[in-house]
Amino acid sequence: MTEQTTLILRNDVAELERVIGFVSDLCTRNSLPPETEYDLNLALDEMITNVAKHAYPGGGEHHFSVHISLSDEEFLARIEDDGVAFNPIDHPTPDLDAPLEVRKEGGLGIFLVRQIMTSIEYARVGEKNVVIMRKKLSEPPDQIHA
Amino acid sequence: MTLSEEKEGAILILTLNGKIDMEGARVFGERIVQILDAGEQSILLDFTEVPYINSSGLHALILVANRLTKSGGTLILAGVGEQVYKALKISGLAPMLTIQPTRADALATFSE
Repeated sequence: MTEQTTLILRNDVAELERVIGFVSDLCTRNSLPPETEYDLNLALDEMITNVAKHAYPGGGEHHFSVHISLSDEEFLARIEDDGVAFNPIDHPTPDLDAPLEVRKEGGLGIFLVRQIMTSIEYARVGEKNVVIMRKKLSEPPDQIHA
Repeated sequence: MTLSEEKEGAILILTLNGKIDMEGARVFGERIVQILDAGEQSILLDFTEVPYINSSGLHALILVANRLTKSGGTLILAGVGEQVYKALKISGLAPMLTIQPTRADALATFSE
């Protein structure tokens, strides 16, 4: 079983609702547990919000794509945008042991994604940022990657 | 995200209802800053009806916790669901916050 879809989104955070609706239906159709649905939604939320907020600093309407595929073994999301180069994997890891008062803004979203997904890859292909996130579906849903 | 507020003695109880996504975090963040500016020192956040939190929401919580720590106030969360708790745990916030199972437990903790 493999399901594949490509969604074309505007650079507007409100577009996230479409993606979350799609993922919710996908999870229901394929009987994925609610924990997995939560993780997929959170990972897509963080990455798509990043693109919508930061990829096009000049403003104006732009479009980017989210390709989603689901097999028995894994969920994969491929996000492609032609905005400014941004490698989320290079993002500094927040200091989780730091007291709250010295915690810096930012970095937490990407960090969450790295913890809940099995892998995240980035490539700059021509003028595009390409991020591929995968989550293996065979592992226990509450497993946290150290 | 909708918010409702009530006072129980000196404790301000803020009940959150809905997802704390970017928009939810904005609504929550704006109101909580007003509450903090008004000088409230004992705040109970009831998370029973919060099914989801993202990094914007976690940042808003860090902001509240920081302000109350600096002013010598107290912040207690109640009714945190399993998935939201997981996000608090992964982000390292869980051990820095006081989290009680229910609103009644949280209210009892304030009076300790």
